[in-house]
Parts: sequence; C-alpha cells; structure tokens
Amino acid sequence: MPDDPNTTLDQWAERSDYKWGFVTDIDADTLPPGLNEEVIRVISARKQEPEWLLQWRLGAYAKWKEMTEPAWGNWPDHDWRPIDYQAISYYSAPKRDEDRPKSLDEVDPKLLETYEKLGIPLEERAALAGVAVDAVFDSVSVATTFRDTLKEAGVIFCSFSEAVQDYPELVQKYLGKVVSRTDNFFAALNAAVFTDGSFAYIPKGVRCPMELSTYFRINQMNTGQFERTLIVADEGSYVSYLEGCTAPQRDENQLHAAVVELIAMEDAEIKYSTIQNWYPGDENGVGGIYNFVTKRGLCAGDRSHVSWTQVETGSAMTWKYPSCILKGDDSVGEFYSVALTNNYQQADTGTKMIHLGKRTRSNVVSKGISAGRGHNTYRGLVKILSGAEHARNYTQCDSMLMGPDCGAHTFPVIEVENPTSQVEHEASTSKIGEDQIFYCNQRGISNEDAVSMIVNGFCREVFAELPMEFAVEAKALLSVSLEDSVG
Amino acid sequence: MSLLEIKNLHACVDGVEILRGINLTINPGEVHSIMGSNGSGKSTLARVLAGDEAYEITEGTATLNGVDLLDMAPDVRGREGLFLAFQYPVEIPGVSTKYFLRTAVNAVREHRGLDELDAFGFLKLVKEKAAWVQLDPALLDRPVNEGFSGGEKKRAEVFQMAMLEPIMAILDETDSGLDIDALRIVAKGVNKLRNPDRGFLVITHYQRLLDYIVPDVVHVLLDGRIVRTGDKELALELEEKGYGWIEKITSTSA
Amino acid sequence: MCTDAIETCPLCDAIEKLSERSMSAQRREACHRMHAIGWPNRKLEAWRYCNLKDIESTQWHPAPLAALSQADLDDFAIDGTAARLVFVNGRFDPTHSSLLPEGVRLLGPLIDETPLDVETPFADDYFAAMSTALVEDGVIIDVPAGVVLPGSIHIMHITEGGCDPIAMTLRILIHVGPSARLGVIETWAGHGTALTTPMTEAHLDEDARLDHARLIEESDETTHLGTIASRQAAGSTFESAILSVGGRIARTRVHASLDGEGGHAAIRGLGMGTDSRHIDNALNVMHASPACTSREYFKNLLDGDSTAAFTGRIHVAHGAQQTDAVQANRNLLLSPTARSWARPQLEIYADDVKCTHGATTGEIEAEALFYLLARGIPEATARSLLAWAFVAEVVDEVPLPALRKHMARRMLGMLPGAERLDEDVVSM
Repeated sequence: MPDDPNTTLDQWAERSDYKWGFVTDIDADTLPPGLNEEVIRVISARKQEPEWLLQWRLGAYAKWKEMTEPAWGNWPDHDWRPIDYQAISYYSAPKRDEDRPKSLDEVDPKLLETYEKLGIPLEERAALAGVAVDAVFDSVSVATTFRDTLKEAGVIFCSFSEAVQDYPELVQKYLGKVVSRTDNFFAALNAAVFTDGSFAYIPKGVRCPMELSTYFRINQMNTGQFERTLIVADEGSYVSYLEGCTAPQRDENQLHAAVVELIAMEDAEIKYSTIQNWYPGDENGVGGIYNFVTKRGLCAGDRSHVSWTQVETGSAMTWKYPSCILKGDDSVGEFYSVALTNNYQQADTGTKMIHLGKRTRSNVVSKGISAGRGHNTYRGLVKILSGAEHARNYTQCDSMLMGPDCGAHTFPVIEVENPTSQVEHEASTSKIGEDQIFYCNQRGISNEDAVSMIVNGFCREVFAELPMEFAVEAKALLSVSLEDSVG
Repeated sequence: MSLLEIKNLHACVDGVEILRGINLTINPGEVHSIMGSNGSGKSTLARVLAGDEAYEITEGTATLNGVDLLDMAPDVRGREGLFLAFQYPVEIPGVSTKYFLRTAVNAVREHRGLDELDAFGFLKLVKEKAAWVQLDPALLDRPVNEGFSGGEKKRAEVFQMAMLEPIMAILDETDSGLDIDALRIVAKGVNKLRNPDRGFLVITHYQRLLDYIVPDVVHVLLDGRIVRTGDKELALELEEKGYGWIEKITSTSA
Repeated sequence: MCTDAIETCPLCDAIEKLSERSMSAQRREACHRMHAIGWPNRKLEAWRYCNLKDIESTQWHPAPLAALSQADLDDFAIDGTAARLVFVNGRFDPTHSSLLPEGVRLLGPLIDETPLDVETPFADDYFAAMSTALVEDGVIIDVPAGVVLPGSIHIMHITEGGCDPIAMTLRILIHVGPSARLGVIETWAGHGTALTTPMTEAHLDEDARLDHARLIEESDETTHLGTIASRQAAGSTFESAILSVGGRIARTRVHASLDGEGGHAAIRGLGMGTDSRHIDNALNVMHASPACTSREYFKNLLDGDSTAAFTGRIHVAHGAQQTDAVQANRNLLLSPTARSWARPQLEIYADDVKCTHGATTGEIEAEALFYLLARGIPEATARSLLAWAFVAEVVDEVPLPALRKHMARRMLGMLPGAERLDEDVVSM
C-alpha cells in the first residue's frame, strides 16, 4: 500500500516498527518504500551532506510534486506499466558481502554463458555477477593504483558522495548548472533523491592519463537507480569517460532515472561513451527496466568539444537525449548512437544540439535497429539561434528493420534563425537484403553470422567513435542481442 | 567419381520455367564452359547450383562429390567447396572486405577441420593471392564491393576464389565489363587455380575469355537446355556463326 | 447534432442572414465542432510555428457579395486552360466564367444535399470545421471512367474586401473515375483583410490520375488556412503542387491516403517569403497499402522577415510492404532575419520499405556563387540566378503546362534582383 506522502518520518517509522538512527545507523539496509520530504532529509543526513545540498534537493522535490509525468513518448507496442513513485525505496545501502554469492559457482549459469559470448575477461566476470569482490581479487589495490596515477595528474575522480565531502565548493559551483534541478520530471526526481554517482574534474591543461572506465567498471555496482554524474573539464583539458558495460545488468528496480552533466571550458574536450544493457524484459515484453535519463553537455568555452557516443541495447523502454549546448564560439558537439530494440523493447532516443556561439558545429549520427516487435524512435532538435553565425549541423539518421512487426520512426525538428548557417538532415531506412545474405552464404558464412556482420557494418560509423576495446565488446553485444531474431 | 553431376534439372522462377532439363557432368580437373545468348538460362543455372531460393527446383538432381547438393543450405554449399563468382557482386555497406573474407575463410577452414587462420597468417595469404589478380590491397579495407569499379569487382571475385580454394568453381560472366588487360589478369588468376582436383564451370557470352581459359568441354545452352556439346572448336564456330546458327540447327533438328 | 447552443450561434445567424436561407445540419454541426475545438494556440504541435495571435480577436464576418474588378481578373488569369470558373467572395461569378464543362457542377445549389467532409481526416482542425460552416459554393467535378478531360480547369477565387474583416471559402469535390484523367488549378487571390479556408477533397478510382495545383497569391492582409485531402485507389496517381507566393500566412494542410496497391502521390511545394509572410505546410502521407510510392518536395525561398515551417509525416502502415517514399525540404535564406523550421518525420511499421527524408537550410552556396563570379557574372546577377535555379526546379516539375508558364513568370517577377535576369531564363 502506498504511503501517504504527508506522513512524517516518525509516524512512518513507528508504523513500520523500524527504529531509525539518522547518522549512527548507517548500515541499515533499505528505507521502506515511499517518497516525502522526510525521506529526502534521511538520504541527505546519511550522506552527511551540507545544508545547501539538502535545500537544493528539497527545492527539486517541491517542484517535482507539481510536475506531471510526461506522456509524449512514442511507444506503439508497449503496455505502459505505471510507475508507482510511492512504491519505490529511495535509499538502499550497498549489499554486504555475506549476502552475495561466494563464488562464480553460485551464479546463474545462463548469465555466465552470456559473459562468455561477450568475451568479458575472466577476472571481471565475478565482479559483474556481484560476487563479493574480496573473494576474487583485491580490488582495492587495483583502484588505488588508478587513483595514484590520476592524483599525480591532478585529476579528481571519485564517487559523487565523496566529492560532496571532499570538494564541496566544486560540486556547489557546477551542480545543476547544465541540467537544472527542475529541468524535467525525471531530472527533478533525480535531484531530489539521487544517492550516488560519479564526479570528475580535470584541471587546466591536463590530458587525463587514462580512460575513466576500468576502475569504474568494477566499482560501479549498486550505484542505485538514481545516479548523478558531473564532469568538469577545465580549460584545455581532455577526458574520455566510459559508462556501463556490455554485461547484462539485472536489477529489481523498474525505473532508472539518471542525470549526467558535462561542462567543457575553453579548449577542453569531453568524450562520453555509454554502453547500456539493462534488463530488457523477457521475449513477451514482461518486466524490464524503464531507463529515463537526462544527459546534457555544456560547451561553455570557445573551441570546447563535447562528444556523446552510446550503444543502447538494453531496457524495456529507453527515453534519453544526450544533448549539447554550444555556447562557446567554435565549439563542437557530437552525438553518435546505436540503439537496438528486439522483442517488445522500445527506444525513444536522440539528441538536441543548441547552437548559440559563432561557427559552432554539430554532427549527429544515429543508427536504429528494430527487430521482433521492437520500436525505435529518433527524436532530435537542431536549433540555430540568431547569433550563431556560420553554424553547421549535419544529421544522419539511419534505420534498419528486421521483420514485419517492428517499427522505425524519425521525428527531427530543425529550427534555423541564422541565414549564414548550414543545416542538413538525412534519414533513410533499409532492411538486410536477401542478396547480401545469399552472397555471404555463398562464401560459406552462416545466416546468423551474415546478419551480425551486416548489422555491425551498418553501425560502423558509431563504433569507430568508441574506444577500441569497448567497440569490440559492443559488436559482440549486438550479435547476442539479435540472437533468435533472425531465421 | 565425378565432381559435379547434374541430371535432368528443371527450375522455375515466378512460375516460369527457366531450366528445362539440364544434364551435365564435370570430373575433377576439368574446365567446362557454358555459352549461350541472353536469357538462355546461364546465370540461372549458376544461381540454382549456389542455392538461390528465388528459384524453385521442380525436377532433377545435382550432386557434389556424390552428395546431394540441392538439399544443402547455401552456406553449407559454400563450405563444401562450391564457389560462385557472381556476375553482379552485391555491395555490403560498412563491412570491410578483409573482415568479410576472414570470416568466410575461417568458416570454410573450420568445416574442413583446419585451424582458424590468425590475423598474421590471414594477411600473408591475402598479400599472396591479391598479387595473383593484381588487386590493390588497399581496396580490401573498403566495404565489400562498395565503390569498386566493374573491373575491380570481378578481380575481387577471383581473388576471393583464390582465398577460399573451392573444389568446384563457377564463374558467371566474369569477363563481362572487362577490358583486354583486365581479362588477361583475371584469366591468369583462374589458370593458377587449375589443378587435377578442382573443377571449373565458366559461363560466358563470348568466346574471347576462352582464348585465355582454355576449356576441355564447351556446352551451348538454349532455352534452358544444353543443345550442343563439343570441344573448344565449338566455341570458335559459335563465335563465327553466331547464336542464330544454333537456334536454326536446333529448330530444324527438333 | 445541433444543440440549443448552436441554434443561437451568432456565426450561424450571420451566415443565414447573409445567404437568406437556413444552414444544413452538417454545416451547423461543423460550426459546433469549430467552437468545441477552440482557437488553436502555439502550444499545439500542429500550430507551433504558426502565430495566429494577432487575428485571434478579429471579428470575422461572412463575406458579402461583391463585384470583380477587371484588373484582378487580368492579374490572376492563366492562359491556356480549358475552362475558367471564377468565384468572388466565396460565390460563383457567371459573367467572368466560361461554360461549365461536362461533369462539372456548382456546389451552391446542391449544398444542402451534398455530403461534405466525406474524405477529410481533419476532424480536429478548427479551420476545416470553419470551412464547412462557412461554405456557400464550390465545384463538384465528376469524371466518368476512362474519360480524359483535355487541358485543365482553372478555379479562380478572388477576394474583394471592404472595411470589415471577412471570412470565406470554397469546397472543391473531385471524383476521378477508373482510368480517367483530370487537371485542376486553383488560384486564391484578391485583397482586403480576409481569412480564406479552402478545402479540396479528391477521390481517385483505380488507375485514375489527377493533376492538381493550388496557387496562393493573396495580398498581405489575407490569412490563408487551407486543406487538401485525397484518397487513392490502386494504381492511381495524384500530383499536387502548392505554390505559396502570397498571403500574410499561407498555410496548407494535406492528407494524402494511398489506400490501394501501387498508388502514386507526388506533392510539391514552393514558397516565396517576402516581408513578414509565414509559409506553413503540414503534410501527412499515409501508406496504407503495399507497393505505393510517394514524393514530397518542398522548397522555400525566404527573404525579409519571412518564415517557413514544414511538417511532413510519412506513415507506413503495418503490412504496407514495398513502400517507396521520399521527402525533402529545402530552405534558402536570403536575409539575416528570415527563419525556417523543419520537421520531416517517418513513422514506419513495415520492414520491406525504402523511405528517406532530407532537410537542408542555408544561404546561397558559396562554391556555386564563386563559380558564376569566375565566369564573369556580376555578383547580384549571380545571386538572382542561383535563387531562380532553386525555385525553377519545383516549377519545372509541375505537370500542368499552363500553370508552369504562369508560375515561371510570376516567380521571376518576385525574385529579388530578378530584373537582372533575362526573360529567356524561363524557357531555358
């Protein structure tokens, strides 16, 4: 039964027979379901957050209560399962080791088989499957090595919670500057209840010595369903950030509403790559995660550069538009996307490129693959404001359809207010040609391999933007995701 | 045992019978040529043997090394060593020729119980075979057949044949669209592949190619039937007298 | 059906008073629907770029009878058509019209017994409803099976405005029988503060062909909010051109439904934006059957403070295999204050389809300009020539020869700096 949002925490705690200790009882596992101001106070208190952050959360919550869940997505083949916001537990401490599988022997063999197919290194499989890390290898030492290297370069990279404690002035300066706490329904919810995430700061002139990934991959488990990431690249710096991994991620939570904010100062470059493979539901469309994410990058300085690359194969429903605000003159925004939907999956994704500065450039390449009863929607906005002299945009939006019951939809919006700009949008649809399959067959290649090869070829321009090892995994992931969808 | 044996093969497309009783036997080491005018069924025969599902086989048999060919899926035929050099090779965007070919080579090798070729071994082989047909190896980094000129496509087909080492190779009008120099290069590549175990079926409209790939047997195809079989002299005679001559003598004998 | 509220509707009263007869139930119902829908605002997706704010409070009056001026007739007549039907302020003007060709009737006398809105999917459209409420006259064209009407029928509507803001419309109902062929050109012209809401409904039987054009050359005080609906049986061809060179707002909403196998629809648009004109085209092409082809080519040349919006949706229904659909929107901005918005959309529920869309916006291409300059052509002339080339591509494709010639001259007259171009450019 959903709780009355007006219940105070005391009443609530009493009713649920639960004794709270705000700060001391930090090990308590999970807050009972429900959302109200007191829950937000508890989250903030547990994380020992400064007052301004609590107020920031509460402000977001107040606004969220007045907002309504958006209803404009294009979900032709999906029974919307209403989200009961009072049925979600908004705080859950990391699982303790004794609750986890002790070794790989205790892990679902089907999951391990998938890891095998994806070519995930042996030592990482255990960590991904949630095996208590200490039982496998000493992750702390690995993490420490990475930290030392980063520290030497002056790069700050830590969990969001740590950043709030250790670098409060940086967090306060940039939090909510790109995605305001009231930007949209899900961003407001995230601002109110986010539990953790990542923070990175690259100082002036520093080229981050490693992809911010490997460390993250092992340690990102249990960051929760309301993740918040903030990356600031100061003048002349460079960072490449990798989020997610190809391993299927199972999660009991229905809703994931993350927020990612990127800020690039003068001459700085941020490259943000995502592989999203959350549980998509079964072949009948039952279950699966709703992945509603707000991602936005601000090219604040002249000649700054923000690049989004995403490979989306998971989730029952995806709703995300990684965007760029091109404020600095000569700044560059990029969006490269592969979205694959199979069975009953629905993806509504794309980007917004807002050109404010002179000679700003943006490039959009979107590849949608629909199979089964999957639907893929590209939704995009390219806006050239009147001051954006000589701005350029090129958008290419290709869809591949596999089977008579899937769908591919393209809804771009192009708004041009400056005549010196040049905007080009192209979209096409295709299917895999029977002659192409026959040609491959003739050379001894099986149907399944031929399809996977052709689909990977279709996505080539996007994969080229991924870091090498990520690209290899992404290719394997597409093949695995398409299994059983080709005859 | 014969390598390829076709008996009374009939095939239709969209209800129209194109092949009307083909009988053909090719032994190991032999090069056969099939000549015929446009629409005689030459390319249909090639595609039917390779397993194109657009064609319906209504009667007859075909075996490769004594095994029923018509029962195999197209990719199994490929792995069993049947190779078709396409008349119009299809383009596959985004898939590099190298990657495509490595997948094919390893599929065939696996089928033959051989180890997978590693990247090094593969590239070594590529270099060697590309030289046979003077194919610029830079082409192999491009998507399959995309942006290839007509001549490059045909040379790439013969190059793929060299890479896959089939036991029975069918060349479907590989000479069409080639100038004389390119024709010599392609023929040289094919001749290098001739050996006592391998059979060839060279489909062509013109006798010209047969100056360079000298056939053991020449067949003339008309309206879906082989109406005449002879040695290479038949090709020369046909060149001289034209396809009308064949039509005339077959209609009078019929 | 009519409610009490409608019985006392002031608009209905005004219409009845003016026409001196009572309105039919379907028109009253339309008036009711119009009120129920309400005046559109820009929060609605369909009206996002079309600003109707400054005419929202305008009190529109049903247009009174008026006499046609000879100057207007001369200005807007098109040479070389087979028949000319002239309407002034929404009513037929027999003195300036030719005899009605066979198969052509006036809607006016038949208005009460002719079912309207049969083909139209515009139930949610305020101005479509207004059009049905206001309609007093129009044309019914019925081409029997196999008949090919020579030349084209020119339907000219001229607004002769006075002091009051007036609203008027025409309904054109077209039925082209199996394997029959017809050409229809509509002209919308005139002056005065006016609101015109024309609606054309076309039904094409198997293998029929309709070549249609709507030419909007109204004055800058006129707001033009029109609709076109077509329904096509197997193997039929519908070609339509929407030429927006006048009006304060020139908006056309098109719904083309390809219901039978192997149908073909080609809809072209050309907009010339000067001053603060807003050109707005909203298209919906429905591929309901397999093996149909559709083409949408829309170009806008925008000068001054003009704006253009293009919304085009291609909908491929489940099972509509072998669909071949192409959609393109090109905008050429000639001034720093011109604006363009494009929303090309694909919605596809079948896999064996070929659909592409493209949209470009920019100024005159520097490379092309340089090429002409390098050949010694003065810059101003070169710019005009390139602007001409941009629009000529659409004009050349209009399948109605009489209109093509008329349009070429009209465009040439409007093109900035066109006086530098030789008239010969038209024929070359």
